[in-house]
Formats: sequence, C-alpha cells, structure tokens
Amino acid sequence: MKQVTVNVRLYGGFRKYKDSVDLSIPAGTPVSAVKESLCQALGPQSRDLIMDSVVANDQTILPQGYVIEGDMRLSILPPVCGG
Amino acid sequence: MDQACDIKVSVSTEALDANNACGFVTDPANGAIDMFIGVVRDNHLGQTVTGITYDVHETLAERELMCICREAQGIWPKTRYFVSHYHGYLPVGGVSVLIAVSAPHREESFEACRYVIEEIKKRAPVWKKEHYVGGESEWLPGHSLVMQGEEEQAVCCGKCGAHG
Repeated sequence: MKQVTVNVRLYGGFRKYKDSVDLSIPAGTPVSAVKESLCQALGPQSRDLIMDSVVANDQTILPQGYVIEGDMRLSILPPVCGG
Repeated sequence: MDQACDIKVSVSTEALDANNACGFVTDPANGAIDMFIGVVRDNHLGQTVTGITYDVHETLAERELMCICREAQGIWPKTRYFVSHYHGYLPVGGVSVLIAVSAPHREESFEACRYVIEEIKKRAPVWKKEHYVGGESEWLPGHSLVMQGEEEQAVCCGKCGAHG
C-alpha cells in the first residue's frame, strides 16, 4: 500500500513535545487514524489532549472521517483560549 | 489575508495600537465606537503571573477572526471592525487582543464588540502559556474545537462514508 508523509504542526500544550512531527501513514487513512498515529509518535501521555483536539489544514478544521490521499501538512489544535 | 473594506483582522508580533484600531473603524455615518482591550493581568487562580506566551496558528486565526466579524456584520449591519490578536510573549499589562467596532448607534457597537470577543475565546486557534513568579509555566485549558454531528457533516470530505 502506498505510504504518504504527513507533517503535523503542534500548538499550545503539544509544544512540550516538539514543534512538528512527520508521520508515515498509508494513503487513504482517515483523520481519526492520523490522531492515533500521532498518539503513538508522542506517547500515551498525549492521548487525552489529542482526543480533545482537532486536525486542520490551513483552510479549515477537518472532520474525523476526512481521507488523507497524499503528502500534506496538517496541524493539531488543542482546546483554545484566546483573548 | 482576504480583507474586506470595512473589516480588518490580523495576528501581530508587534505591539497592538488602539489608535490604529479606532482610526480604521471611524466612519462619518457611524456615531459610536466601542473598543475591547484584553490585557495580561498579574494573577490567576491564586498564582502570581509574570507574563503570558500566546501561541497562534496565524493562517487559521486570521480566517476565523474574519469569519467572526462577517457573522457580526450580518447581525448588526453597517458596522465596521478592527481585530488584532498578539502572537508571542507579553509581560503583565501587555495588550493581547484589540477589538474596535463602529456602528450607527451605541447599542449595536456594544453588542457587536461583545459578540466578537466571546466568539474569539471559543473559536480562534490561540493558546496561552502562563508564566509564574516562581519560574514555572503552564499551558491553560480551553474550549475544545471537536466537531459534533451536523457540524462535522457540513465540512465532510464526502469520501469517508461516515455520514451516509
């Protein structure tokens, strides 16, 4: 199966791990599985924050079922507190 | 960033300037300007705060700020908006967010300005790391952007079959 590389930029509480992480995942992977892959990359202590977070591209937040077909850059957005 | 002639939004690493905000929303047809200035305070939940680092997804934040202003303009017509959020470290007293709204009358300017700041707190991709007097620091909890039901379906890619 074709593998694609997803660069995930980390924000807020994820910054303690690093600023971004590259994930190698099968083409056709949904966003929900990207979150699982990210959890494996960052460690089990990151799971609760990942599950409370959303994945976005530079245009919008992506639904859990959004399918990743090729290499791309995404962001993981934890709960927000601007202002 | 797409800017409307009567809405200006930005994420800035420079000090936010209230005069710029007021000047942009000034309009001879509008008799009221309301301004909200968010400032770093020196305490939170009993701890002495020395400053806050603001982390921001700049592209998405500017999109969301514009979206919020357009929504407000749909509710309160003939209003003008200037919204800027700071990105980076601010000491106590630093200005983190600046919102100016002008409207034909004061009531709309108050209501629209309140709407914008409340929506920013719930929706803008901005995160705060508080720094305390002892040298510790902590990312603050916030509002989850996780989508539910119809909201998720509205932006579904159409390929996943999850909502069929």
